[in-house]
Amino acid sequence: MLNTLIFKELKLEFRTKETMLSMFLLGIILSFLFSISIENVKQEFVIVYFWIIIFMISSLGLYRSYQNEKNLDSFNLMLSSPVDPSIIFISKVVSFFIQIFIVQIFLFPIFILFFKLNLTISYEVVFLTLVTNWYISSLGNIIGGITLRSNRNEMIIPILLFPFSAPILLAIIRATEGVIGNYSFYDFSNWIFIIITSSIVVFILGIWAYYDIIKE
Amino acid sequence: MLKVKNLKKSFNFNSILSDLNFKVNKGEIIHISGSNGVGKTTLLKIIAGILSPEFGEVSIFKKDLLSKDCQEKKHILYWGHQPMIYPHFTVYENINFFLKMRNQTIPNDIDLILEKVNMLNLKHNQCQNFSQGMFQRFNLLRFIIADWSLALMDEPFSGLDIEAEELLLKKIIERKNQGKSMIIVSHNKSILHNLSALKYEIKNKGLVKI
Repeated sequence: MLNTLIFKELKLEFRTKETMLSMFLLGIILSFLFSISIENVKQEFVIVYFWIIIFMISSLGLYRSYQNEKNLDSFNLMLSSPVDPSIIFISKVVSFFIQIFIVQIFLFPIFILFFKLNLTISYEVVFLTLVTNWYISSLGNIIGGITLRSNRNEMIIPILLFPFSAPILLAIIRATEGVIGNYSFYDFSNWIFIIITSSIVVFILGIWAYYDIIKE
Repeated sequence: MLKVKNLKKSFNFNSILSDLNFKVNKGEIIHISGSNGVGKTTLLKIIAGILSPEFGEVSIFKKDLLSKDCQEKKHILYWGHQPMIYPHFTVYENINFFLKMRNQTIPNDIDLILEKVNMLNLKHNQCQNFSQGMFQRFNLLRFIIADWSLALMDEPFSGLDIEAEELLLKKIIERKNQGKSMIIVSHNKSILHNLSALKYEIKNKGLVKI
């Protein structure tokens, strides 16, 4: 069942490319605006900009994803089927996690180009990015579930996503700085611990509470 | 087969259904009528698992229908106002997804069934530009193709042309004779006249036999 739901999410997205394309375009626009507004920017600030952009485009992506479910009542098909809502949540987390990573793959070189950076991507940075993406996807889908019964989801998603993401945003910035700056692991290990723990906790919370969140 | 006990539902502190009780036996057709906004669709949505009641019990074959991981929902087919389809999927992909969600597979005679509901030529077309009538035909397709014991049908005849309406009536009688039950919400009393349905009305937040 999980495979069917993930396949459905990805097939719909790859057919229309609506969500990923709009996330990618917004990412380019924001990268360009940030890059021209500040000159000679320090590397640690660039990391901040990058993650702020990722959180902003994620909010757009999640809005579009849940809007598609609301059109023609598609989500109610899943609710009225013998499917555990936790499976629906996991499928949405996995598919959005894949989408956001694909957008990052295409966006990152453009971002580097705009900011004229000379960065080498290490396995540690990729790992931290993936864990943070998992957090964004888990939290975003919990918030997306809340918006299913609301007519104001374009407002609710960013309003709820940003405050709950602020500690993780800080943690990923500090951890990435530590990795890129070759700091001692003990200097930034706490931040990595926060990212990993939060991702696990939010994911488990979503599995546990999604049914109550989506029910009216 | 279906038992609804002490059901209560409110929206924004406005009570819609209160202390609602009824039973549906095997092979029965229940026709529910009532004014707009009395809670007919709400009642169907609660039984289908789309809405949660504040209070009450809903069970099918003596098993709770309101639990989280409810495998008993496989016995229920919900025919709502909205088609509950993905507009960027084709007719075939939508029906395949619907059946997979119910742990069923596409039957071998799918083309024959599509032809019956006049959708064979649209098999590989995306559903994004479908009219309301086509959406209702898609619901009719689900009604024919799915394996269910109780169908919850919200205004199933609205938007259907005469040909499709006749096919639906034929299929309803066929399913009734197979021992399947249906709850039909409709304002169209004349169409349902020949189905020997038990008539109920939602009045004063409860279900009254008429």
